[in-house]
Amino acid sequence: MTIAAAQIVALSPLLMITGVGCLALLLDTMAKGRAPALWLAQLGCVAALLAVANQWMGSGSSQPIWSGMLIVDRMALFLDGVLIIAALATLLVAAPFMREHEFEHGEHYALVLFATAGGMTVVHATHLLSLLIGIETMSLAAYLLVASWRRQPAGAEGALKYLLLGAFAAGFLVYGTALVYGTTGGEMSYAGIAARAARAADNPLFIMGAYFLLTGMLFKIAAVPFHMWAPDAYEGAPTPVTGLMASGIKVAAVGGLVRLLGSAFANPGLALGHAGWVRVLGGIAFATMTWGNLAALRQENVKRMLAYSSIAHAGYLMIGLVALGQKVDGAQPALLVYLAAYAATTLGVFTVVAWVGRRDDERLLIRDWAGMARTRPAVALAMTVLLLSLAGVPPTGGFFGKFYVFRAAMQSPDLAWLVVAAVLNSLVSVYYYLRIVVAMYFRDPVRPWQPFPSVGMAIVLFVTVVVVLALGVVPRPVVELAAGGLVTHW
Amino acid sequence: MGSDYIAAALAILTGVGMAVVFSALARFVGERRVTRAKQIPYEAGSDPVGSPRVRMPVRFYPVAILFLAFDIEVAFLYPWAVNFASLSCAGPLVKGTCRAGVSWLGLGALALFMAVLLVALAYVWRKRAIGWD
Repeated sequence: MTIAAAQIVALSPLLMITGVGCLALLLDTMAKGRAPALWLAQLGCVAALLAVANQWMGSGSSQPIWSGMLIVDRMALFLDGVLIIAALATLLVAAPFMREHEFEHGEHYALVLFATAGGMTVVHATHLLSLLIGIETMSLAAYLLVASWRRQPAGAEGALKYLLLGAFAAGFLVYGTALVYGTTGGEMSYAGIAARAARAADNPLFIMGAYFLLTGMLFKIAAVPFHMWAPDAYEGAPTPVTGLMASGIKVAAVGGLVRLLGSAFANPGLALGHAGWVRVLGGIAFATMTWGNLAALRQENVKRMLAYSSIAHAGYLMIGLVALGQKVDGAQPALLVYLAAYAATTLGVFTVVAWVGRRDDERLLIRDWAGMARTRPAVALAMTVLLLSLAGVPPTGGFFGKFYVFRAAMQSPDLAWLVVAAVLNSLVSVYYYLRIVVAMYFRDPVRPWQPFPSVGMAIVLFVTVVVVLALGVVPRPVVELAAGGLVTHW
Repeated sequence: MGSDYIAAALAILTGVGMAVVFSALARFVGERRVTRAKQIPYEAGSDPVGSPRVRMPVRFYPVAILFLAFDIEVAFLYPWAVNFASLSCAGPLVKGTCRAGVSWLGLGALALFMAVLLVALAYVWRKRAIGWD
């Protein structure tokens, strides 16, 4: 086995993020103050974005790396871009947030990059081992980030639940890998599993292995019934970290699922039929969006409501995965558009939530948001646009994301019920998103809101709102980018 | 196939058998003199009665965690050393010797691994997690 220079160049975005993460960690211990590590991390993100663009402009054909451990293709590069932008936005929001709440750690910046590097490994993975390494790198960094606000007891509680259930999920992943390895005659690469799947599809141990892997991944995207950790972890985490978990980490896990289900377990004998994963995943998608939305209706805490909303979105995303299993044309680019729109919206929403709180006064209840439109009309308007995008109301990116995923699913008559359920669910979700809007516009202010000055938050909020609106008015460029990510063989 | 299982069964039988034989010997042949100190639950002599909430210096935890982290990472060197010949060969090994050119993959991978380890070491060093105070 050898390593060609071309492979290192192809993987440069991932290597840059990892390397800059290590350097930021060291720089933080050497330099005075937190600013150098922050600047280095941000510069690293920009450089990695340029590297992604460079790869995109390049050959465009998919390229296996290190004997098929990883792959560089259009889908991976598209999601790399989303993940790096999510990391950059998190850094921009986290720095002022931590300063305001007086718990600034330099490690925070390095950990955001490590989580991103793990997520990028997941979307590049074409081998069960690299998938596991990516998932674990991403999760370990996320556990620490959730617990990083040490004065906050809720953070420790959320982090512990996240850690215990995450470790449990990792156990599922490893056990599933072992079963698949054993029943396919020693295959762990997706291509190898796909080649042996036809023979192994009626072996109960192989099916069990596939479902164990699926379970492990569903934990990570917080699908019902594996969502228990999500509301506590989302609520306890520092708000910028919650934004990263709801955007970057979810995007990476869904990207990993697209590859795993779209190649390794795409065999019709395994996917379709009574016990096929398409049917099971359809049921889980229904349960996830319904439970997420119903539970969100009852929340008074904005962060917790958004946590349940993110569970509901995992349900919508799984409709795309089910369509992928039915071999529907265009399911994969539709998912990518959804992920991009959802990530941008989520980052913007959590930026507002992070901005609203002051030291010792986090203002997380909906009634704390009363009358915000009067004191800060621009922020209230931005929040309204972002919430409408989460609800899927045109003209926002959230609408087109849902539109493409549902349209792809409609091509299969078996999935019509799921799409109808999803549309009804979206209608339900409008209620709780609008509760925040009503509080901001039609309630008298309880306490005046004084946001702390922050250029970083303003930039992130402005950019996410522009992106969300642009995606809703002219979705074509991003749709074409996502379609360029369509790769049928890997 | 069958002989593998016979070997495994022999190993299990030997293991269990030795445990049974030694316990039986100690029980029936050995001499026993009962003293109070021998009857308390912890043979190390710690007093079993008292508050379980003893305050432990937190300094033990970093030491334990760092030991675990670096110890496990050092364990990765063994499989690498065993496979060094095939990792350093550009082609497959033929009867244990390399006919193709030299590949730097084996050395490079470990250098990268050690570099990451050094980053961690430098980090804990600068954070004063290694010293006792």
